[in-house]
Amino acid sequence: MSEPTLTSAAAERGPLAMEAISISKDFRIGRGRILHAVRDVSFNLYRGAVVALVGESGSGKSTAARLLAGQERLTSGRIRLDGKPVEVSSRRDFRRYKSEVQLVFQDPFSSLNPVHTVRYHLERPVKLHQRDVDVRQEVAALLEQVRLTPAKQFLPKYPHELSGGQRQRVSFARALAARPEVLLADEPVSMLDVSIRLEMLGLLDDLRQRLRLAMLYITHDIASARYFADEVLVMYAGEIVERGPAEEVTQHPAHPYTQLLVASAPDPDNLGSALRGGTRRAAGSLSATGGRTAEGATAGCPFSPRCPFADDRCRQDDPPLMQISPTRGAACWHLDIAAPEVVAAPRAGGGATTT
Amino acid sequence: MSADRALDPAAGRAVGSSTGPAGLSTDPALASSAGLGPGPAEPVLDIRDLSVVYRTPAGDVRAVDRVNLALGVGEVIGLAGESGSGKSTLVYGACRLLRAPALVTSGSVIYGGRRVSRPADLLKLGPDELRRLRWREIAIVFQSAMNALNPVLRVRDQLLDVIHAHLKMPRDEAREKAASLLDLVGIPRSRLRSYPHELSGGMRQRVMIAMALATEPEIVIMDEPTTALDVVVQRDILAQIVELKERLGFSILFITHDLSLLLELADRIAVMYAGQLLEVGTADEIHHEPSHPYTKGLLNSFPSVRGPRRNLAGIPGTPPDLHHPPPGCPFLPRCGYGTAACQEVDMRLLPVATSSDPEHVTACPFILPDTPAPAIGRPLGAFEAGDLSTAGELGP
Repeated sequence: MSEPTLTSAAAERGPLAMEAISISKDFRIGRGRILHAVRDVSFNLYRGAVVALVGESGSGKSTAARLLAGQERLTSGRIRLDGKPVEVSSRRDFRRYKSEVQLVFQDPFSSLNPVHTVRYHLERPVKLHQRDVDVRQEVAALLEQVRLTPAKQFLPKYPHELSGGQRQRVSFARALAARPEVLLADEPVSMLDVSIRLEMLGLLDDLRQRLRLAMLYITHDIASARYFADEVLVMYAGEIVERGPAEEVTQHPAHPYTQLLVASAPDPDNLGSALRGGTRRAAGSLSATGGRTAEGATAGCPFSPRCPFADDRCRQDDPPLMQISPTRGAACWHLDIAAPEVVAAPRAGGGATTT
Repeated sequence: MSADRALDPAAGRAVGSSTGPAGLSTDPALASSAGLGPGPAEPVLDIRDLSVVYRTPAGDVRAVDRVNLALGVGEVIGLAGESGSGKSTLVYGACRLLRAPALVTSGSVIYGGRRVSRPADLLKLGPDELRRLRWREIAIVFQSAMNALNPVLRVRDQLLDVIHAHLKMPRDEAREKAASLLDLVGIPRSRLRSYPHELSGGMRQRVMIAMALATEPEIVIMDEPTTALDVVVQRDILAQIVELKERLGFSILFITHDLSLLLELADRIAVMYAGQLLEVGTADEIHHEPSHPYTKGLLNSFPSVRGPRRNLAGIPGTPPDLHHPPPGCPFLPRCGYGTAACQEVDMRLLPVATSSDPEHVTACPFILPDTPAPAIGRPLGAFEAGDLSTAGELGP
């Protein structure tokens, strides 16, 4: 597939930190079957910028994060950090890499060890990744950074003594203990209450800015990506189907799948329109269960089994990411039908703009 | 109130007049204004003055504090609150599903469904009567389908289990019923032979809903049924729930921490915080004229994908420690509007002064829907690239 010459919407925030170049990951799932969890995915992370990877469960977004974190081996493709290719074959290199690239997990209830205190969780990475620092002072400073103050009060606590939000703050602090350059946040707020999600995203945003972190924000909630991210990458069945500036992608989604995601977001401003009365809105009538797994579509566009615009071409050829604007692209053969208002100059061979 | 109810055997429905406590009962005018069609004249479930404490060595923790809530026939009530607010405890307490150290210390829960000859207080029923009522009349869809389904039983056997336990039915008929239940929730019949781990998260949750509906209950309690699912599947399932409700006519008590869902789904919304109800009103009133500062905070907590970008603030701080509840309003420590008077407020639910709807009640007598918002916190989306003045000494 040709590499489109798209500029990331996050590029203006700061210097390039990490590059994922055509990364792929296959899993064997027995009897010669192969699951293409991540297929030919490319994106860049920049210092001080947030790139959101949006998709439903099983879309491969977490696998992509694990590849970047060095927790899974690439099937193909390359990852570069600060312009240098990443070699994690030796233990020492891997440790150095880990100190630059940290992962925050979704579930603060299972990602902290229940038999250890907050102090233990934070002292360990500090000792591992940093030399010549006062561990005590560093740990206190970390807690302050994630606004768990006074630090003294939290250090001796066990995870079960903390609320979900506080636990996730400890996870953030643990990730920051290595003083990373890149933070990969895998659904960092989706297990938390709605009322504290915003505060946690605010905290992440604050850390991004103060520590000039290059951040990958993985989520299924496209609305939060709109507010939090610079660039949005929409992933489906292991492929990036649309990418572009967060506001543009969420306000004028081009790919039918992005349109489905946006239509599925709760819409309190449009009260009662969709759910009450038992009728589903147009885009919602796309079945959420039809051909949903990454292994489903073997040829053609992976979204074709669920797509209202799909035709024979979609079922045979997988569309490449087509450029819409210098910062925006979508992988769809029928952008002129699916999103006529986004594609300024309609391409040939589309037909009427019926939606 | 419930004692003087007459029963009309032909209609199978309780009839009679009732005004309900504390302005919380449903009345037809209210219901029809919410677009319900024929409104509930009588609550099918009437929770009154319910209190639940957790007995701990350090003293009692008041998890639910004198809550009144009535659910009308065919109504969808949304119970919104953060984790630890007592929303699950309230509902499980009302259904007598709590075990020690939880203890119901006061109140009554009157159930008056079509199939029972007279309204009964769930809190006073004996074990046998309770068993007859559970699932048959009140079914629950639990949050985590993976944990609630038995991993070593096929879907069919789990459905048959419910059918045999609560309905007297010949084997063949029961099997057919199990299959038709899957039809109901849109799962192919071939999945009857599947184990839970072979199903996707959305399918598992649908199986849970099918199990709950197996006995055609009057009330379905849904405890965060879609929280673990992603948005597309969530929307599908919610639409399905609404569809089934319209078709089968049960009432729903929907528990969630996500107010944005309730605004779309529920007829009425009750907002719970630290064991107390802070505001109750129709979804429309709660959305457009929220009165309590906590409700306002919740409404300002979720980013919306549509419409103009708003400055979102969320609700800073954490809920109070119920071992030592603060005097007066429990929300005061996190409230941007707070004044000294808030420490002495008794948390009674009173009609919102400016609202035309007397059923829209709030526990905050000071703040009205049109009170201007105080400046709180630093809203997300207000961060600017050049704003590095707060950079700490910890920068790399």
